[in-house]
Amino acid sequence: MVDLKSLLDYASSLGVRETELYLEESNNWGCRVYEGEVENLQASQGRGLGVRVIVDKALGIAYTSDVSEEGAREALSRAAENARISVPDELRAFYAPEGEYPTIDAWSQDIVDTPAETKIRMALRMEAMAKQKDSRIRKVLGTTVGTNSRSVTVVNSKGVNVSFKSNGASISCHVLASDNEVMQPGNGVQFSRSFAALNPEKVVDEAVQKALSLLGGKPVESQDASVIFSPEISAVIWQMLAATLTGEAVQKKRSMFAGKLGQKVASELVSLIDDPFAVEGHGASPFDAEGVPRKKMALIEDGVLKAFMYDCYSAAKDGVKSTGHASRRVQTAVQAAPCNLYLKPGTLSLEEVVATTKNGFLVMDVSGITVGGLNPVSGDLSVGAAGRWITDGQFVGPVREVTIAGNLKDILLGIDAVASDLKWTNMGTPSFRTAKMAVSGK
Amino acid sequence: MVSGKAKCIVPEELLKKVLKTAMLSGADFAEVFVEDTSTETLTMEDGKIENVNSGRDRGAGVRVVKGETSSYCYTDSLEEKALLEAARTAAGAVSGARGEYTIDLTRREVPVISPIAQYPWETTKAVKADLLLRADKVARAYDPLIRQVTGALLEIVRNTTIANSEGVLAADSVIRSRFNVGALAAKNGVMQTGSATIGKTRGLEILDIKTPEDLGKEAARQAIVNVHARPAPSGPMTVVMTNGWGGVLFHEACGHSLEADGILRGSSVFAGKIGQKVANECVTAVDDPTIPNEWGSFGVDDEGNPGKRTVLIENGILRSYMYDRKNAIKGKHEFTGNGRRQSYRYIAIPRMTNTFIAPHNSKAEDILADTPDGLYAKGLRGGQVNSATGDFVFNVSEAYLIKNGKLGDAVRGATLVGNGLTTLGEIDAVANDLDFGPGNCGKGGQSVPAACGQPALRIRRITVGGTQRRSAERRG
Repeated sequence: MVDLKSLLDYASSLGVRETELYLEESNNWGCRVYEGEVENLQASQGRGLGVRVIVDKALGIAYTSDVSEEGAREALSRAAENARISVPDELRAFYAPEGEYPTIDAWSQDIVDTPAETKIRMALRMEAMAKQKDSRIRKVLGTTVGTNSRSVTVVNSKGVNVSFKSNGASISCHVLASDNEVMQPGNGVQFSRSFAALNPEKVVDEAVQKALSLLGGKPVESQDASVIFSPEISAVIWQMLAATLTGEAVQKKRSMFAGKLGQKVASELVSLIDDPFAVEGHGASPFDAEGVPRKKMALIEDGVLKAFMYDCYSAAKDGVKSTGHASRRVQTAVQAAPCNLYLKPGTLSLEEVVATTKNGFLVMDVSGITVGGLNPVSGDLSVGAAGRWITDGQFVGPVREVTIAGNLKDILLGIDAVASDLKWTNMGTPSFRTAKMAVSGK
Repeated sequence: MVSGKAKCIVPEELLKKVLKTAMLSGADFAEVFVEDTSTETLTMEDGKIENVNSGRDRGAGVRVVKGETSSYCYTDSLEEKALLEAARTAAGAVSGARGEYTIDLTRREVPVISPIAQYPWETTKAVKADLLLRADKVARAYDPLIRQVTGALLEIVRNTTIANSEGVLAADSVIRSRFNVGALAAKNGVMQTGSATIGKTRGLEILDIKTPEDLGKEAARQAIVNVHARPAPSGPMTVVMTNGWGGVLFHEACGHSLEADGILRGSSVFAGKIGQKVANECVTAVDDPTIPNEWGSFGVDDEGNPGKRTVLIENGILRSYMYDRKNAIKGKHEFTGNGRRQSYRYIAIPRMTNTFIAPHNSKAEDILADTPDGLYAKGLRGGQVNSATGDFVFNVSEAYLIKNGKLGDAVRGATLVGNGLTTLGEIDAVANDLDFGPGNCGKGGQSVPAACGQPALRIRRITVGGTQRRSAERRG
C-alpha cells in the first residue's frame, strides 16, 4: 500500500498547494442463515482512498479502490486535473490542526476474537427460536450475524495526521407471519459494540412481535389523528431533518430552518443532540472527514434551534469555524452531516404514551420516505404507513395501506409526548407522538 | 464506433487459476467477477461548478457454492496474489472433499446492445462544465421565483469480465451518461422543487435527445407549477398517468414481487400464480435489457448470462419471474439474465433491468377525455414496496385535478398508495406512447441502474394521500 506521507510529498512536487488524503480500510464478515443452512458467507477486506486537492484556490476530487503507489498517484493527478474545472474560491482551505482530539474507545477485542463457528451458530439458533415462537410465523426469511471493523485515516499537507479504528457486531432476524391469505413480514435488528452484548432472543422477539401485531392490517377511514412514531421510524425522520440543519443547506437556500436560529422550531419536549462520544451509535468518532476534532453539540434544545453544522468550506463562507461535521465516503464529495445523533428521551414509557392517546396511530413502518416522501426543503411529508390503531388508550387493530401526511413544521411543533424507549439504530431515538396528521385510507 | 468485443480485464489463464483454487475444497460451482469501473461526476450549484470527482473502482469477487451455501470474498486488487487469496478465503468457508478440477473456458459472444456515438473521454471537462451552466442559465431565467438550480453530469464506464467453473467466460463494457437538473422555487415561505433528467447507455449524445436548455426549462417549469399548486386531496381516486418514468409504479407495485428470490422464499404475493390472470387484458409487462441504449441495458448480466427479453405478464396473464443463476437452478427455470450487482463488492441477486408496461391500443388524449373526475399524475418521484404484502407507495412530483376529462388545478404533495395485485387489476386503459426514464433501484443494500417505462395509462381506483380532505374540499 502507498505511504500517505510520501504521497503528500509527491503532490507538492507536482506543484499542488494543498492535499488531503482520506483512507478507509474495512474488514467485514457476515453470514445469513435460511432453512437450517448457511445460505451466504462473506468475508472481505476493503480499502479505498479519497484524494482532495486545492490548486489555484480551486478544489479537485478523485478516489480509487487501488491503493498501490501507482493507483494513488493516478488518483492524485486526476484530482489536480479536476481542480482546473472547478471555480476558484479564496475560502478553499484544508484544516490546519489546533486543539486536542477527544479520546473515544469504540473497539472491542471480543468482536475480533469470536470465531466464525460461534457467529454461524448464533444465526442458526435465532432461526430455530423464531420458528418456534408462534404458529402464525410460517417462515423465517433469514437471520444474519455480521461483524465489521473499520479504520479511517485523514492526512493533509497542513499537518493533520489522525487515525481511528472502530468495530461492531450486528444481528438481524426477518420473519413472515401469515394468516390464511395475508402475509406480513417483521424484522428485528441490533447493533452492538461488543459481541457479548448481542441479544438474539430480544431481536427474534422484536421481529415476531412486529409481524404478528401488524398481521391482517386494514385501511382505516380517512381522518385526522394523533400519530406515534416508533423508534425505527422516528430515526428516519430525524436523520432527514438533520440533513437540512447544515450551514451549506442554509447558504444554498434549501433549508426550511434558514433564519430560525434561536427560535422555537419544535415542541419544548424536543432536544436533538449530536454526540461523538455515544459509542452505542455507529457514528462515534474523535474527528470528522477533514480531520477536525468532534464535539458534543445540541442542534435543537428544548425546542429551540441552537446551531447549524459546518464543514471547513461552508464555515469559511459564514465566517465561523468548522463544527467538525465534515462527512464523506471514499467515493463522495465532503458535506456537513451529523455524526452520531440522538433525540433526548422523555420520562413516559411507550405504554404510557399509548394509554394517553384518544384517537391515534402507532406507526411501525413507513414506505417511500427516502424516495421523495419527505421533501426536506418544503417540509412536506406524505408516506405510506402501517401500524396499530389506538382508541381511548387501547390498541384496536392493525392498519396498513394508508398514508400519513403533514408538514414537518407542524409535526415538530405538535409533539406532545417523547417516550423513554431510546433505541440506537442509525441514530438514537425514542418513540414520539405528534398531535395531528392527516391519515388517508378508505 | 465500438470494437464490438469488450476486452478481458485479467488474462484467461489467471481466471482459470483462480477458479481452480476456488474449487479446491470440493465446491459445486465457482465464479469470478472482475470489474474495472471509471466514474466521472460534475456537479453544479449556485451557478458554479462545485465538485468535479473522478473515481476508479477496480477489483474482483469470488463466489464458491457448495450445496445450499454460497461463500463470497472480494478484493480491491487484481494482482494474482490477491485474487488467489480471495479464492482461497471463499473456498475455505465451504467444506467438501478436496478435488482437482480442470477448467476450460469458452469465450461467449457478447452482443453490443448500445452503440456509443460520443465517448466520455472525447469531450473535455471544461465543455461538460459549460453544459451544466447552460442549463442553470435557462432555469434561472424561467421565472423570478426560481431561487436555486442544481445540476449533475454523471458518466460511468463499466467493464466486467465473468468466468465460472462451468466454462463460461464473458466480457462486457457498458457506458452510461446521465444529466439532471433540479430547480427550487420559493413564494411566501413555500419552497417547492422540480427536476428533469435524461439517462441512457450512451455518451454525451444523450443531450441530442434533450438539450441542457430543455432540461433546465423543464425543471424550472415543474418547480413553478408546484409553488403555485394547492395541497393535494386525499382519498380514493381515479388516476391517469403520463408515459415514461411513471413506469416506476409497475416497478415498485409488481416488479420487485416478480423477482425470483422472493418468489422461491414464498414471500411474494405473486408466488404460485404463473398462468393465472393477475391484470386486465390491456396489461402486458416486460423486462428487457436488450433495448438498444436504454439506461438498464447490457450485453451479459453480472453472472455472465446473456440479457434477454422476458415477458412477465401477457395480456393480463402472469408468465414469468426474473431469475439470477441461483434461483433459476433452485426453481428449475432457464436463466433470464437478471443476476445483477452494484459492484464486485456484492453478490449478484435477481434485479430488474428495463422494466415496462407494453404499449396498447388507447390514445393518451382519449384516456384523459374519457375520465370525468380524478388526478392526473404528470411526474413521479421514486417509490417503495413491501414485497410480502405488495403494499407500495410513491410520490407524485407534478399533478393536476381532472374535471370532466380536462386538466384542472395543479396540486402538490400527493402520494399514491396501494397494493400491487389490487392496483394491477385496476389498470383499465393503456395507451400506445411507451417511453422510459432512468432510475437507481435499491435492494438488499445494493443500487443498480434500472429504467422504468410505460405508456399513458389509467388506474380506476387508488388511494391518493394528500393533506386536504376530499369531502372538505368538495364543500369548499
